[in-house]
Amino acid sequence: MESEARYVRIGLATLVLIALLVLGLYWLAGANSDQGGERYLVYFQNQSLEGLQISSDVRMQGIKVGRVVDYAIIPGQGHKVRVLLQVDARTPVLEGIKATVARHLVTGLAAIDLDNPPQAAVPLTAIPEGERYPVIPEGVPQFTRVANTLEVLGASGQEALSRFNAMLSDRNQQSLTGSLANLNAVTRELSQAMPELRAAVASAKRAADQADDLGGEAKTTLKTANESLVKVTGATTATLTMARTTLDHVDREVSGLSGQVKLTADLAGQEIQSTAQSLRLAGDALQETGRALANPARVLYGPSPKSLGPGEKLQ
Amino acid sequence: MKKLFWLLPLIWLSACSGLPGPAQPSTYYVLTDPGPVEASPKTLPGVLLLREMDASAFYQEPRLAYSRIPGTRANYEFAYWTELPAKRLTWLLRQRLEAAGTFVAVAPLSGGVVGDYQLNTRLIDFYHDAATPPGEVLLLVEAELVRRDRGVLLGRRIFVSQQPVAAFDAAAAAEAMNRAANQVLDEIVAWLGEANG
Repeated sequence: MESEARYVRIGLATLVLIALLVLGLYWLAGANSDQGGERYLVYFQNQSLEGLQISSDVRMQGIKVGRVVDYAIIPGQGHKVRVLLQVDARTPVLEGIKATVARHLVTGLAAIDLDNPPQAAVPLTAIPEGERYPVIPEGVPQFTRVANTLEVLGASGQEALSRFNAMLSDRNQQSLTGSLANLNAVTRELSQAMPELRAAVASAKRAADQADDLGGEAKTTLKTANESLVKVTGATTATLTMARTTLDHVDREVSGLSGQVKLTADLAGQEIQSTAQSLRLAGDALQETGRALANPARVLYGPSPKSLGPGEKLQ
Repeated sequence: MKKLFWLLPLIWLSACSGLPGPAQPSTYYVLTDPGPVEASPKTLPGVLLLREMDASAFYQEPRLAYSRIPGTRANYEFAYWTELPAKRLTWLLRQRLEAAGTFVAVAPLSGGVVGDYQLNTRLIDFYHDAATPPGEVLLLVEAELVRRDRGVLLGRRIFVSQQPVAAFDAAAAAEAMNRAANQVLDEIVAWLGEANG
């Protein structure tokens, strides 16, 4: 009797274990798949789905909110992939939401990021005709936007560099060098003149202050100046008369000096003429004397009868 | 040897005894301007400077010149001028110009006077042409008038005078030369009045 009872207890335990095993397998196999969630379709045609797998994460604001349920390349449209997502029912999926593929740089595993529009909108519930679930539009990934931005920035930079190169042509460089040199010279001169400018400004300020101070005294001063001017006029007339006299005297002196110079030059010229003439005559006389001495017989014996002039005779 | 020493003075004295004796005595003539001097019709403004007359080497000889053969010149042996003819003629010309009153004043060049005009003269010929006795005297003087302040030549002319010689000797020649000088000076003064007028 005891052995039959043991057999019953062993059989019941085995059935319990089998039931627990079935329940565990069911739980493991997809109890979550039937959990409360909404399914959405996404058609990707501009982004690579490399690294995307069934059950890959679906995230929103960096938080996992769902998983990839299925994906398939649409026949006849090689660049278009249909991806089925299951998103937690508590997650707000609004009109204008975008779906992008995010890829881990190290593991290469991909996930789907959902990005709601910034402004408030109604939940996405509309199901397009011919579809079983609402369709989330494909968005532009951040990396692509950065790349596009970089591409645009690169194009703009290239254009800027081209213009910069054009701006830095040899001629412009020469002009720029000249301008810089001129600017340097102007700066140096300005620096040198800075003390004078400061002094001028200070002087102008003082003059302005003095002008303000003198404003009240101007009337008195003008009156005094008028009186002084009358006196100065008289003195000026006398001074001008004296100056005219002085100038006349100077003119006479200059004229006299000019006459003296002219006289000296004239007399010197006369002396030179006379001296030159005397030298010439002396030379001629010397030559004549030498010619006379060339005949010593005449010196010793006197003139010959043949050289006597008309009416002359030797005694 | 001593005898030879005493013979040397005797030899020298004997040589001197061979020299000719005293010849015809020399005569010195004065070149004069016998006149008369005619006053210029008007006195020209300005001072005239007179440069001493130029002369060739032949005429820088105080003896009178003559010529027996055309193209030749010779000097009298015993007829002298008291002063070289060119220098004497310059002085005579200055006296004549001052007497005529052609210019305000006449002064020699290099005399310390500033002049407005300058007269340059040159004695070309002044001799007794004795080719045919008694012959004639020929005097040629070139004159040029210069405006000194502008350095301009106002005129140039050669004056010629031929005067017959009364006798074929130096005294007559000297007298004819005085007349020739008188004529040339007259003409120069007249020409100066015309050239500057």
